[in-house]
Amino acid sequence: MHIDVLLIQIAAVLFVGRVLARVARRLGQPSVIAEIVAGIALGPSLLGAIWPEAMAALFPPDSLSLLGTVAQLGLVFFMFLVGLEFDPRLLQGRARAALAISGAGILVPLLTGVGVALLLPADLTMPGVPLHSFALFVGVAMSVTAFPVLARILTERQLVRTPVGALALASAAVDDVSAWCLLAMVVGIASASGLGGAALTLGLTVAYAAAVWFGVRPMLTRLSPRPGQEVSVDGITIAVLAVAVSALITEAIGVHALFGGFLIGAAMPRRGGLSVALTEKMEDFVTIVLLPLFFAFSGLRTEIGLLHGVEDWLWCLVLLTVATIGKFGGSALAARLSGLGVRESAAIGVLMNTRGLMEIVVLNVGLDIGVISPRMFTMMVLVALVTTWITSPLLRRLYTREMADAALPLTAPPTPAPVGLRGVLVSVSDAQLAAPLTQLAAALAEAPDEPIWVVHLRPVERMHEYLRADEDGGDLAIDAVERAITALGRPCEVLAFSSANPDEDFVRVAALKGARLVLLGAHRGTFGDESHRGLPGAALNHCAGTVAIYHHRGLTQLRRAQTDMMTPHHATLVQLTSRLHKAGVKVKPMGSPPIDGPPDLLIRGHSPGDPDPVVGDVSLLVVRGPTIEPPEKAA
Amino acid sequence: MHLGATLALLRAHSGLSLRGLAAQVGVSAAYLSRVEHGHDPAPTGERAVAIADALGLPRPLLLNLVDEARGDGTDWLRATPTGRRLASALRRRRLTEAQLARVLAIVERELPLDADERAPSRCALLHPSRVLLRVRASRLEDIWTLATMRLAEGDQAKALLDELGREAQSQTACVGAQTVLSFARAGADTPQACLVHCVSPLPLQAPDAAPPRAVWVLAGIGAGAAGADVLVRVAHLADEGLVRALQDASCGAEAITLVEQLERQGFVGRRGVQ
Repeated sequence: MHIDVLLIQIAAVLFVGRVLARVARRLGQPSVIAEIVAGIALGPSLLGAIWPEAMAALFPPDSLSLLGTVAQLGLVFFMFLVGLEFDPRLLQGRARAALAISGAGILVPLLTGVGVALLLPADLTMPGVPLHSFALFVGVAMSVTAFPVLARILTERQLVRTPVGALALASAAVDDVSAWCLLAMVVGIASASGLGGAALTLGLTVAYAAAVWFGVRPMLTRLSPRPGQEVSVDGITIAVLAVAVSALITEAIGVHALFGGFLIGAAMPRRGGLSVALTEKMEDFVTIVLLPLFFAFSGLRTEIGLLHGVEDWLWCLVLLTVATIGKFGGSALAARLSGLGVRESAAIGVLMNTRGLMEIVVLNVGLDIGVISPRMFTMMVLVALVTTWITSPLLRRLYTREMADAALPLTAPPTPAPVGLRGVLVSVSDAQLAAPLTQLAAALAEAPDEPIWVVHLRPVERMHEYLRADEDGGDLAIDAVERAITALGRPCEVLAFSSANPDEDFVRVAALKGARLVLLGAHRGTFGDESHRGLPGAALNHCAGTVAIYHHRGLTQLRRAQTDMMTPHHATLVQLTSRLHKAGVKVKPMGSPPIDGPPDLLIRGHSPGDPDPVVGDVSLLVVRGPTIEPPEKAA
Repeated sequence: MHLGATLALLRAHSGLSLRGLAAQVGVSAAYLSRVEHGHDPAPTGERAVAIADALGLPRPLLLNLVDEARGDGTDWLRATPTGRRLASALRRRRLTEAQLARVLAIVERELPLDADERAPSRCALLHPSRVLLRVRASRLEDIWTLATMRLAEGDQAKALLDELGREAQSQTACVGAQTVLSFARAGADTPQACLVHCVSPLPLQAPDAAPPRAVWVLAGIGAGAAGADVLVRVAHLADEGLVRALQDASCGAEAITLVEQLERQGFVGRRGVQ
């Protein structure tokens, strides 16, 4: 019955959030900041203060329960995604340091947080709530790190592969798991009546977590498709069902529904395409639509007007200082003790101090179960905002671009996954396609040193033509290839020969070279698509690695690409897209508005029997994933 | 053909190291290395015999090689007292062309070639499908890939490419006259050859400073004298005239005709017309 009100709310929240996100981008801030601020701005703190009627019309009191429900739903699924994002592989090779940093980074702020909470004046606490519950809550809120925000900052600043970035990410991952377990515990203690009840809640939570890990996880593993297989609708449905049921169970146990979502996310198998597919399919909707609603809901409960007098603001400053000293100090000290340099340790400390949306999640839970007061809630929201806000500028000062670049070669990029296939094999049969195909090959190469072979095959029956062409000053296609490679400024190997069976020979060269990616141009058939015949057909049928067929429609410079994620070969599309992104190409998913102009290239998965539609004048790349699991290369 | 490079290939084929062979022959490794690189003249007949014994190859194979490298065919003859007397006897008679033909006929009749010498023609190693012409590539590995594609299938192809790419054993050498020879045991049950001719010279070190353009890839070269014999025979096909003529060949069959011509008359095209 409130659907119209809800829709208006969604529109308003998304609009304000987007506008502020633009501003945040200008300021070099993650867009989460903008979404949090948008929520606060639409709430009593700004809109309510300057134009109460508008706020009352936009958020009538009787609509809040629906908005709250949607926000909670978003939160459960967001936590599921957070759990999905936890990757134990992040810890490889740096487990000790990461455990030390996250351990110290939780314990120290927890203790300082509990300490300062015990000192707070009585009017900031909730009447009727035991002081230890309140103090524990403040401690937990101070000890969380926002893994998603951290990951976004690191990615945007291209620090993921630096030692500091990798360590911060690994520590934040551990932090996440520990903090949510801690939160579950604290919620259990706070909402249970008496010590016996708390013990029962904790026992049930541990038992349930164990049941998920040992019982549900193997089942989910069986659901996950093998590499090359497509993710079925059944798989997705069962995963979502598991989230709903799990959230229900944890809610019933008494440790908030979000913990159930997080547990299922963490228990999802990482191998196979299911977790990637779930992330891809759900992430946009959850983070673009549902999460801002949660922030708006949270903003409605943030009343800066509640803080009055110098004293309140001073307490707010004290909380901020204590939170920062605890989190920053603990993490930086642990990093320093694990052998990092002073500036690197400080950078780790600053990164771990990013609380962002995670603290807001914790605070909302606290407010829901009535452990913290609205005033305290507001103060802590401000703490979360400020600690997130200062991360980017501080990081820029502490860990300069030069330092990051200097540190990069030390951690040679981990060879992405153990694959036996390596190299990009490009077939250029047409002078016109030489430039776009080599350009694509370079953009899709995994590393600057991954070999690229540009193969040009001449059918034998045309040999005499070529003899004549040679007399006239060379072979057009080869000349074009050589010009394209020179323009590329990257080493490529040219391989040209004549053959009676060019298609078959190309496939054999690909097999002998162990090419990871085979890239070729499609024939522009008179009667539409002819990709099932000739070279593309041979490659699709016989090449073990990824096959990408390029339909040329005048691509000159690859700046913007759009990927249709709803087509098959999802995992491969994700891989190629991220590689293009790293190569500096702006990549957007299909359907979302183009960044600053029409795309130069569309990328979609290959589906057999389905003609590859070329839309208008945009060049198209049709991709088929590897057919076999690549053999592990013997050492 | 470059003698040193061919010797190095034969040594690699036998599996002996430079040091090991030098010890068995009774020369220094440095000397042997200089011979293999062409910095020292070809070994004498006696040394060639010692090398043949150490490598486990028939003596005539090595003697012929050394012989050819020296240009006149008399060194080996002078290695024994009887040989010296025969050489002197022939020289003092100042034989005419017709008389020489009669001596040749007597030798052919009285002392027929052994089985090794009558081994199948080098052309039998080739097949039109295993001749790759007008190839553009700048690395030997890529040429090996192409040759492997023509020589073997499946697992054999993989084994062949692996063996060719192994750096520890130098199963590849520039044998002079713009020609590179690579050989491998794997890839085929009987010896087979693939001939690759490149449009532009390969950036490889050549003993005679002529950057190579033709690559012979041999598969299925067994151990022992039979395999070594194939190697030597193919090394003999290093010929600038052939490399030049291949440039204008239009198909594999035409290329094989050129190789046959080289085998039969010792040169391609008309001598003197360069």
